[in-house]
Amino acid sequence: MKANPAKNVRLREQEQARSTGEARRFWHTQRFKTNMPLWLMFLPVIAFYLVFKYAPMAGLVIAFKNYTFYEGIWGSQWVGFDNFQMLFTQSQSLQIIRNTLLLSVLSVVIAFPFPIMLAIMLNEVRRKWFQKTVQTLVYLPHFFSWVIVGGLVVTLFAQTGIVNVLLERLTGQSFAFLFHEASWVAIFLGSGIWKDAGFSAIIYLAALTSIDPSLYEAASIDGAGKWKQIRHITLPGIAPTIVIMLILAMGRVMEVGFDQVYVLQNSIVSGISEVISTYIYAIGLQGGQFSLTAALGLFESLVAFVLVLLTNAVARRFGKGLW
Amino acid sequence: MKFTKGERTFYVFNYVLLTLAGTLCLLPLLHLASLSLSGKNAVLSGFVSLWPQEITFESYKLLFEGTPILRSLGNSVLITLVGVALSMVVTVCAAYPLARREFYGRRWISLAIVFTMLFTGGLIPTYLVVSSLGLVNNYGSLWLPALVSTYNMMIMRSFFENIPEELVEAARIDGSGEWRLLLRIVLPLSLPVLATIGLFYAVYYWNSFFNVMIYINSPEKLNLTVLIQQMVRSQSVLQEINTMDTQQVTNITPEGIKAAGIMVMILPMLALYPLLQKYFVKGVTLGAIKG
Amino acid sequence: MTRKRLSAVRSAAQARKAVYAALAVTFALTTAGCNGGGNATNAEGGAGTSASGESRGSITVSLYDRGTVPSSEGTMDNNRWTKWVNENGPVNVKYVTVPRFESLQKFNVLFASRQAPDLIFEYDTAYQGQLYNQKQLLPLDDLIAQHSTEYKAMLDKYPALKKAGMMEDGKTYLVGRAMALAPQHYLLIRKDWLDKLGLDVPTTPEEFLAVAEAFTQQDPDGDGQANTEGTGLSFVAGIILNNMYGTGFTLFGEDQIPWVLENDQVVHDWDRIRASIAFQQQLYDAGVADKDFVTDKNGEKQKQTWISGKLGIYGSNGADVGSYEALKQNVPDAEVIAIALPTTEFGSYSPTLSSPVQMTGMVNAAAKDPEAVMSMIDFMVSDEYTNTIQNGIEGVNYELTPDGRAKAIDPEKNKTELEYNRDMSMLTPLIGKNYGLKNKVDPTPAEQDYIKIYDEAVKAYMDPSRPMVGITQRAYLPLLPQNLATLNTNANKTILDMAMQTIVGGGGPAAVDQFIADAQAIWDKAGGAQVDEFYANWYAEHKDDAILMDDIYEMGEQMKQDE
Repeated sequence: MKANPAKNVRLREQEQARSTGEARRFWHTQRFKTNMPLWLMFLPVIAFYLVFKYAPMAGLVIAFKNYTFYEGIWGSQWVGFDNFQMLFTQSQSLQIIRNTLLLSVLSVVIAFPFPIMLAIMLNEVRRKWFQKTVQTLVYLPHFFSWVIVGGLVVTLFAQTGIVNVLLERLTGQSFAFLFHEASWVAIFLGSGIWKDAGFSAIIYLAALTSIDPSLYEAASIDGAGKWKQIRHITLPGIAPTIVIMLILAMGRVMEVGFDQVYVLQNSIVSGISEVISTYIYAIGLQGGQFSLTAALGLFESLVAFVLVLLTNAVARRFGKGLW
Repeated sequence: MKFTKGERTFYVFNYVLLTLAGTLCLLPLLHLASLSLSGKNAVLSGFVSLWPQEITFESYKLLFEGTPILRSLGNSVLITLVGVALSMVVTVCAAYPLARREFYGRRWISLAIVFTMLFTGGLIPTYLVVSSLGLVNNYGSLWLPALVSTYNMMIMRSFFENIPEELVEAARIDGSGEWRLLLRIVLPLSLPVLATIGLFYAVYYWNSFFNVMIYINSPEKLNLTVLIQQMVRSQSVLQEINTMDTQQVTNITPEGIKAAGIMVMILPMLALYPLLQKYFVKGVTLGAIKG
Repeated sequence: MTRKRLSAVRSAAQARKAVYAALAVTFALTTAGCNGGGNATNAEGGAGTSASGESRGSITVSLYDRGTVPSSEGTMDNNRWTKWVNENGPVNVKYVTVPRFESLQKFNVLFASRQAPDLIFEYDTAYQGQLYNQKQLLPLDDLIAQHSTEYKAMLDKYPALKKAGMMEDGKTYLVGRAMALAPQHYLLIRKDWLDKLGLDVPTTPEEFLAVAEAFTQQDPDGDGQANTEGTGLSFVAGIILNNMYGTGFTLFGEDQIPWVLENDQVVHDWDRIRASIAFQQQLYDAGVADKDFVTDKNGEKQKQTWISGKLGIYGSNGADVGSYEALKQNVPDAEVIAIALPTTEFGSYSPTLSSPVQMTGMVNAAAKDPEAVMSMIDFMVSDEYTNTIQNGIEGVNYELTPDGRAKAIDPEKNKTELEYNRDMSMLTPLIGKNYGLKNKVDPTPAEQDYIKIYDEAVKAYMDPSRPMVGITQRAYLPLLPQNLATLNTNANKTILDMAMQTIVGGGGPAAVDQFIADAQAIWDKAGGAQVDEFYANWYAEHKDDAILMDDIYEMGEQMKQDE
């Protein structure tokens, strides 16, 4: 909806430029005057993307080659889709792709709302010291590497771990959380949320600052309860941010973080815990499979790209797409 | 102020949940702090959980005397400060034009940029580019390829976009140029998001590990994260028996020293956030409109 | 003055280095014509010691960096030992540091951008093979024949070094060192617990189970609580339990090697795996091991339980005196012995022994001055170098004992000034009087105890009649071609996961049989027959020139005599 007026302006200007039949007039339009400094500003950005993002992308051709150091990227032999065929004909390929999608989609769907809830909850805290303390504490886990966090999680949920000790005291029975697929997935998601929700909440906290406090006062006077205020003022206020974050999250769908899976996974739940990145790691240990890894990476990118396109198309309907 | 019954339930619930979350998040810090302050034997035997045993500062002493930690700490600070400054400037230069509806090619450029988030050339091609620019073993190899994080830039752009049009229009009627508009109106109104993105960049540069390992050759230029990660990983290599690294068994960094190293690495970041919180002021934008 | 100039040149950019190299070559060529030119070049290059007075070459050498150099000592690429090498060695050496824990990635980008050092040191044998496949390595046969003295002598002394240095095409690409054949994995047991409960050292799986049950149930530590574990099941202990049944298909570590020799033919064995999984399932069901052993991927938890004095049978990696010392501190009465692996229906085996030769070095195919690289290799195996890098400077770091061993003057000082240089000695033979716990001057009480454990282990494990499992040690198996390697890794990983599930899942022998049937199906479906065939063919073709188990024990004997 919002995009339309802009489009109209552009059309009108172009029309104007054309109708006068004199292109030079166009160079004097307000739009051009605005664009000059913007483009000046943007030039280094373009240079950056061309040099550091697009130039290396040429290296993706090795997915269709048999890359060796000796022959280099350009000299290596073309092999067509052999690398892809090799990947998708392994017996576990389908299962691994399914696991990757399952874990990542669950991560997005389940984990996504937590930072938002956290930010809203923090926003509702009246005591500044409490707010600041909790805010800093929940931001903390982001800084511990998965090696450390994984170790702690595995220790906590082991059959002799503290969680089971408590459980046994309450119910008289222990449960092998790490050995059952459902509970393992729950632990996987939970630890991801625990680690990153506080950090991601910062963005929403920033977004919350743009909401006019007087809106709440007005709503309060009208007798709207907390839930109503959150639903009708807070959430709409940060909706644009939520949409952007969702699209960006889609772009990361296929990268179920290697470290997290690697430290948490175990053989008993391998049916669910083996994902693309751990698979690449295992292959990589053989060494030198650059082309194979590149092919797998390209596949991941394609899936993520489709998801981003779709999400963005939906978001555009509400006038909030990335492009 | 008097609360209704519903509100009171909400607040109680809210405080309880947040306290719980905060406590849960404190656990790993407590654990590591305890490890770093405990005696070697207690750590080796797995006796340390959330409270130090046989308290000693030995780990910190060994860390500061036996490793180049001060030098790498200095490097980390340098990498982070310059990196954040550079990245912030260029990211603003990217986000601001893209946030302006008048900007020619906005849509296609955005798509082309998002494309780079998803498709990347991989390690070796990127290295070849960086190396052909003569940046290897130079902090430029850490700063330049990371000038703009598309993720951060898109967030910043969306915040810029949400600045009410009226403000921009008003400024333009006053005859402000784009630069003036950006510096005088947009940026001051965007302090919360600038603080957020600045923090993200700071965390990124502070934690850079793999790039430093790959691009920096001189040991005296390595940063703190590399130093600490080397310690943390000295354990994991043991798993690969086939490397037959005969030095390894004797070279594992003791857990206590590792924990001390991680503490040193994390504390500056922990201190940074509360400092930035003061920029999260409510209603900046609206104040501007009314004023 | 010259030193300053030299270091300026060292720190110059790549382009300037190339120019310098070119200049140096021209200079060397022009001066070679006139008499006395050699001296001039020596002055140019720093203190030259090469006897013939030839021009002093400049090379680059890779060196692991573990971040362990104290700042007072400089850095890994510039410290008293790298200076010592440049002052006393035959060539100018510029060290290229490589982070120990991302070494492969770093080498990859260096090779891809053609900036890799001339002399490369890397432990990972699979990576060595990869560099060979990628044609990045220089064949060394002619170089050794014509330009080597010290290393050539070493090859003559240990023919296995030559065998191990060859790649598929029959040429030599790797340089390495001899190491004492010694126990690598130890099966340790708490002797004081055995005595207290009146039990004997277990010699069969049944006895092993019985002992583990007694350790778990009869409160061997006497604290009145049921908090002891009978046996470890993860990592080294797990590997040992598989080895004990004669299979190299282990559930921990990265090598799943199910192939064994039967009637002088390589076969993919399933019976041994079946038996060993069945036994581990029994142990697990009996509750004598850590219920979460599956998640204890590198044996950390098992180690903690052992050190805290709550574990009866433990698999130790290497002569781990540190853990022993910590255990003794927690339980002063603890008595630890190394025991032979129980004998099963498949025979008696030993756990993993260290490899008698280890290949660590390669020469870059693009090295500009291979002769200079060879002279560095020679220098690195010379007594002067090995002795200095290992013990430091005589009179400063060590003094000689009457029987010729090096005794540290101030161990604390050596800790800061010497020990960080260990990775410079990747060609130092690990044999002889300066190596190993046994030869240590003034061992601590814990070390004295451990020497006893070591001797027991030597007696129990280093015996060809109780051999290691498999066809040969992993390092001497041929590398699989890439497609087979991928297939093999994938299939074995799946089978390994199923094996773990079988151990934990209960269900008795029927479940184990089902597991074997499933595993075989997976192996067949993945095309594992090709891998089986590859190894079978390799063995048939190379059983005479490959390094097999007999050769390994023979080398061990030879090295023992050398000591």
